[in-house]
Formats: sequence, C-alpha cells, structure tokens
Amino acid sequence: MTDRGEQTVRYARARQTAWRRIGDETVVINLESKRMVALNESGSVVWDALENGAALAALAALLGGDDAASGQVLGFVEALAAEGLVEETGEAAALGDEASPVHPGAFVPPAIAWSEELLRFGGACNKYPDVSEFCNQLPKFS
Amino acid sequence: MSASSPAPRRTRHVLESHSRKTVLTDCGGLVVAVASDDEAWLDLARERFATFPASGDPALTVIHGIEGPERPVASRVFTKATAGFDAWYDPSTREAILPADADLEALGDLLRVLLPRLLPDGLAFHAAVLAGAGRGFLCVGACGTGKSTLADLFPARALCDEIGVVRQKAGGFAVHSTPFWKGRSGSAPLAGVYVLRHGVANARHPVAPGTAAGVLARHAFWPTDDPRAMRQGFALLTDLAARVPVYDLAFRPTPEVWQTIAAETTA
Repeated sequence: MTDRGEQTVRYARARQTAWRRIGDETVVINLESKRMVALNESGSVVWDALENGAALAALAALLGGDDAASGQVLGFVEALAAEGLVEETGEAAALGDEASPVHPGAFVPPAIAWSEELLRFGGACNKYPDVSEFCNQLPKFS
Repeated sequence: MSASSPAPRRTRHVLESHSRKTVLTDCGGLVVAVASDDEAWLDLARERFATFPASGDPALTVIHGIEGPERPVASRVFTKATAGFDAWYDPSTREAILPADADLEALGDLLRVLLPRLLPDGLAFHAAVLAGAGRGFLCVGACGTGKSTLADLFPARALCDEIGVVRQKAGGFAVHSTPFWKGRSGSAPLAGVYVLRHGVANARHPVAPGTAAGVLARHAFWPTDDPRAMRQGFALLTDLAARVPVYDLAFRPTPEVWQTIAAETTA
C-alpha cells in the first residue's frame, strides 16, 4: 500500500480508456494518447479490480502475493499510470484489504504483454514523413 | 449510403459537381465519386480505376479543379509545402477538393488519407487481399514482407496488394479490396488473417488472439483525428482478433503456398 502521510493512495481506470478481455489477456486503448496495450492474466485481474478504484494492498492480496509482490504490483500500476490508463482517485475502494485471492497459487506478476502506438498509416512505409506514412510505390495501372 | 447515415448537406461545390463529368469507383466497399471538368484528367482517372467500378450514392465526392474550399469548416489534408499539392476535406458534406494541378497520384494519396474516416463499420489495413472459393484472406505486413509478391503469384485470386478493408457484416466480417495498387473490385467473407514474412518453406502458425490484436493494431490505418471512430475501430479490431483466426505465414514465392493459405482455418 502506498501511504502519503495518513492518506492511502487508491487507483482507478482512467476515463479515456476502452478495453476488452481476449482470452486471458485484456487489451486496453488510451483514446487520448492513441496507444494500445495488452495486460497478462494477472494484469487483467488487477484491471478488473480497478473498475471502482482499489488500493495497492488490496490488489496485491487479490493476486495472492506477499509484501515483496506488493512492490511488483506497484510497479505495474505505475506502468499503467505512465500509459495514462489509471489515475489516482479519492473514491472509496470496492475491495477491502482482506479481499480473497483470485489466484491462490503461485504469485504471477502482473505485466504489460505488449504495447503499440496507433498510427494513421500503421506499419506502412514513409512517403510524406511529416504528413503521413505509406508505401512509396507508384501506380501500376497506367 | 446506408439508411442510418444522414444525408450530407450539399454545398455549391457538389452542386457544381453535378454539372461535371464523374467517375465512380469502389474503395473498400465505399462508392467514391471523382468529378472534374478536365476531360483528359478524368480519362486518366477512369483508366486508373477501371477495375474498380461502382454505382450508387457516393460516401465521398472528390471535386477536381477547385482552388480552395468554399467554407472554413473544410480542413486542409495536404499542403504544397509538405506533399507537393493542396487538398481539403469537409466531413460535414463528405466533399474533398483538389486543385487543377493535382495529379492522379495526389488523388490516390487523398483517398488513402480519408479512407479510415469513411469507415464507421470497418478498418483499413496495410495488406494484400486474396479470395478463392468464397473465402477471403487479409494478408498483412510491412513493405517488403511479400504482399505484392503474393498478389503477383495469384492474379486470379488477388483483389489488391496494399490496402485491404475489413468491414462488419451480419454474423462476421467481410474483406474488401481497394484500388491500391493492383487488383480489382471485390469482397469475400473473411476466413483468416495472415501475417506475412518470407521463409525457406511454406508454414503457418496460429497467433494467440491477444497477441493478434497487437499485430493487427500495428498494421491498421487508424482514424487518429476522430475519437469516436477510434473507439469504433478498437471494438472492431478486438472483435476481429477474438473471432477470426490469425496466422503467422512464412512462405516461398511459389504457387504451392496457396495450399497453405487456403487450408481450413479455425478460430
């Protein structure tokens, strides 16, 4: 748990996000930064718990982790915050610190599996570097 | 135009375009009208889009031969300083304007820029499109990974070799061709997506849906200036990754690769 004086910091999903669970992973888009990330299975558990806001201790408990694991959960939440996907909130947490572990087995650190910047011309080649990107090919019809 | 889409407000430009000669072309299942008074220019456009004929109400009207927008709401898409030509687009009327000195390459570039904004039910990808026996395949990859090579191998099955469009249809997805660069108008139910790379043998390996979402995102043309369209694109892309089989495809440039592509696909 992160404490600032007497205050416990809680986190919640940022408003500018949309997400979808695909298999064990959760794919999340930041509609403002136009970046997309995928969260591994443990990360997906954390993401679900962040729906209504949660404290770090509750998140770590949810994954069945010990104090050392709390540091990894903090690192993950900070990574989400750096992506603009979560933000600190003063709202009441939906989870109590006594939350039962979703994964009572070995602790698997939550992680961002991949991230992609969403571009107007995706993986295409550069043609107008400062305007757009696409293949530098000439029409073959004429 | 679909019944749910409001009719765009007509401006003087479109009214003028009615007196101009027009070429209609298919671009990802959308009808694009290209209007010009310049007969020679229009003949070139007609030739350029000869294999992509279309009919019906246009989703976009490109008016050639106008030096600037009538109304300030039109946004400048290209500038001479950066692209060598000027172009404007007004989303409220779905009109684009090209000056008289814009050539057909400029027209093609304009269509590629505007295409992602015109697809509320679809996404464009940097991809070749193949189709056979009623099944369509989207073959994504960066330049040099084999899109054109694959299209050249199968002229009867290749619909296009640079930009493919996936659109939602009842119960699934359809893949559509675009006039970039070689190919012909066409669409088919989407049976699978291939992520291309050259290899020493033909082999395909399934890509897990979560990973596939990232690969597809990398090769999509995102409507980055339209948050609502970005949200719709995200919904479509993740649905696509979850429901359509995606494979890594290593291939040799020989016709035998079709057996690998057309093999049964399972999500």
